[in-house]
Amino acid sequence: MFPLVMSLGLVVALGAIGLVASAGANRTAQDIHQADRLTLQRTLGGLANQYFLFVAKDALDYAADQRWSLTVDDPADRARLRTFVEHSPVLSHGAALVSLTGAPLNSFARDPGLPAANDPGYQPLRALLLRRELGLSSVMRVEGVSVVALAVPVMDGDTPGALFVGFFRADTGALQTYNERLRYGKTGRAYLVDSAGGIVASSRRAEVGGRYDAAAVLERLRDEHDGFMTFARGSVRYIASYASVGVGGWGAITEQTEAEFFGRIASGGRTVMLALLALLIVAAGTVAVLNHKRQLALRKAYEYKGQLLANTTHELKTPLTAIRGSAMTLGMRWREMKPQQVDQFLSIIHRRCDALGKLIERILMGARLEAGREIMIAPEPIDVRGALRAIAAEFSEATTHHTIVVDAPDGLIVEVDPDAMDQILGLLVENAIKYSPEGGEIRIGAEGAPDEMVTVRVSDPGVGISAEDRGHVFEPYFKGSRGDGQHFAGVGLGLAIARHLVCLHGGDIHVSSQSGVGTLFSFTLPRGRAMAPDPAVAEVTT
Amino acid sequence: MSARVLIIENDPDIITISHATLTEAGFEVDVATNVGDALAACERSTPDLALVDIRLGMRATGWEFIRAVLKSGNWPSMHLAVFSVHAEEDEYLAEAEALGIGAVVTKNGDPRILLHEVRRLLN
Repeated sequence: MFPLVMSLGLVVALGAIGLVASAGANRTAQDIHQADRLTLQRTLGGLANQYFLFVAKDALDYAADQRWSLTVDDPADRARLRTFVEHSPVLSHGAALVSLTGAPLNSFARDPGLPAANDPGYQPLRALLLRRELGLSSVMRVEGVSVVALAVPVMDGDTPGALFVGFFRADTGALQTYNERLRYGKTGRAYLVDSAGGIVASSRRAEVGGRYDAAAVLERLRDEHDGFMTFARGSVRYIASYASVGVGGWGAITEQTEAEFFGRIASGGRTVMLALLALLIVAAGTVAVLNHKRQLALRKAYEYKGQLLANTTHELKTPLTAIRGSAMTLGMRWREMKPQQVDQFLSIIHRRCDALGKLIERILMGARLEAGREIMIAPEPIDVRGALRAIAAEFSEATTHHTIVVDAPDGLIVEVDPDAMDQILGLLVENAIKYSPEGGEIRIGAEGAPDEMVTVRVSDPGVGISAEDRGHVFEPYFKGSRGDGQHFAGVGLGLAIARHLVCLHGGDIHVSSQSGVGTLFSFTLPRGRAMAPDPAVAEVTT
Repeated sequence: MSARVLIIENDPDIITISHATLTEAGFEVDVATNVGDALAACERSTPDLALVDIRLGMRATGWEFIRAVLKSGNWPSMHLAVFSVHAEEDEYLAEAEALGIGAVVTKNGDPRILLHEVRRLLN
């Protein structure tokens, strides 16, 4: 459980780091988006500024070029005013001459005429002129038409002699046309506002001449040259970028709903978060599955160890039972027993003690194999036929139910450790007997062409090994399946040890088998040099 | 008439020891090393008690003999006892109980225990 909690904790922590990183990236993206909008806003403010400077310069140049009489209602002055209006690219609604005291001198205007001289919209214009700044009025209404006035001095030598005032229509002017073309998504609006908050131009023409309603934005526009802010209009959150135009206290404003402005970034963030969440779920699921698998493997290992212990115990208990039974029987009854009976029980003790010793040695060797420890061998030339006959004789004593047949040519020599050879043959023959029915014939043989490895075979007519088990029989502690959910008795080390010993000599071991028909184990060993005749044996035989 | 005991066991040394112990104590003893021989022995002469080793090697187990006997119903008077080095283990006890056999005899080689258990079961 603890590793599962640890792993899940790690995954959650990584996920949280990912989410925080995502939120950070989201904020950065918002900042960049906001900065982009502000840059655009500054550009708009700058363009408007250049526009007014252009208009003012045009008016100033024209006023300076003319020989104004500056008398009230002078027809020549009016003609000059008309010429200007008809040819001006911007101040095309009307023009007027005004004395420095504010008294009207002359004017020309298209319909519906000019705002009255007492229109409060002129106040900013006058205030600016007094400060010797470029004069711009607020947007004014004349019979539903929005007009704006721009004033430049008419110089009389080095001093101003009067004012030249030009008018343009806000609702159809170039500024309005330009603003209408600005697009900021579905909710975006662009405005050009005068110093009093009147809308001089808007991306929605109907709003021109009205009042810009976001007081917070106008206030920030008065206090700062430019900036970016959020505000609420009713229940909807908006963002606004604003920049001063630089003349007349005017400003350019762009607003848009916050949801739309940050929407793509937010949805991108949501996508990242969802992706991370999905990753988190997948990772947590993977960890859970891996842990589950690990726990299953652990449980299997525990069950396996338990089974191994049970098998080993059984294999140890059986000879011990025979030894104890024989010893106790002898102890209680040896006086009444015939000598042959005494020998029989002593023989059981002797044989089973040997078997027990071998079993313990096998278990220890299995432990050495599992631990990867080296097993020392000392190969020497061994006569294969002799070795096979010896093992056949040994096992023939132990089993009365099986026949062991040896089939090997004379003079076949292998280079092998004698103890290892005994072990390998013993393990294979023991298995052959164990898994063969009574009366079965176990055949052990050997063959080998000159210059080739010698092949030794042990075959039995036993129960056979299933195809599934064949690939595992040489694995330590593997127990063949009986086919009824049970496993064969034994520790499961014999074949693993046999293979290891064969491999130590540079040979190989194979199994071929058919369920219910029998099994053939064959292993190879390096061919040895022929032994010199034993002088002692030679003497006896002659 | 002495009681007849059938030993079903595949280890020749255990057979030798058990056979000697029971014969000496006056029992008639039959021996079988596999399930088929054991059932044949029952057919020949019904034992009063069958001591059944479980791990008989190869494919059959002593449980199969016990099931065959119980299923046939041919030998209702025959006592059945599990005879194994693992007799005291939970798995064996549970299986024996499931089959309705209360008797388990631990095979530890002690002739006195074997005799004591056989006499107890037959009485």
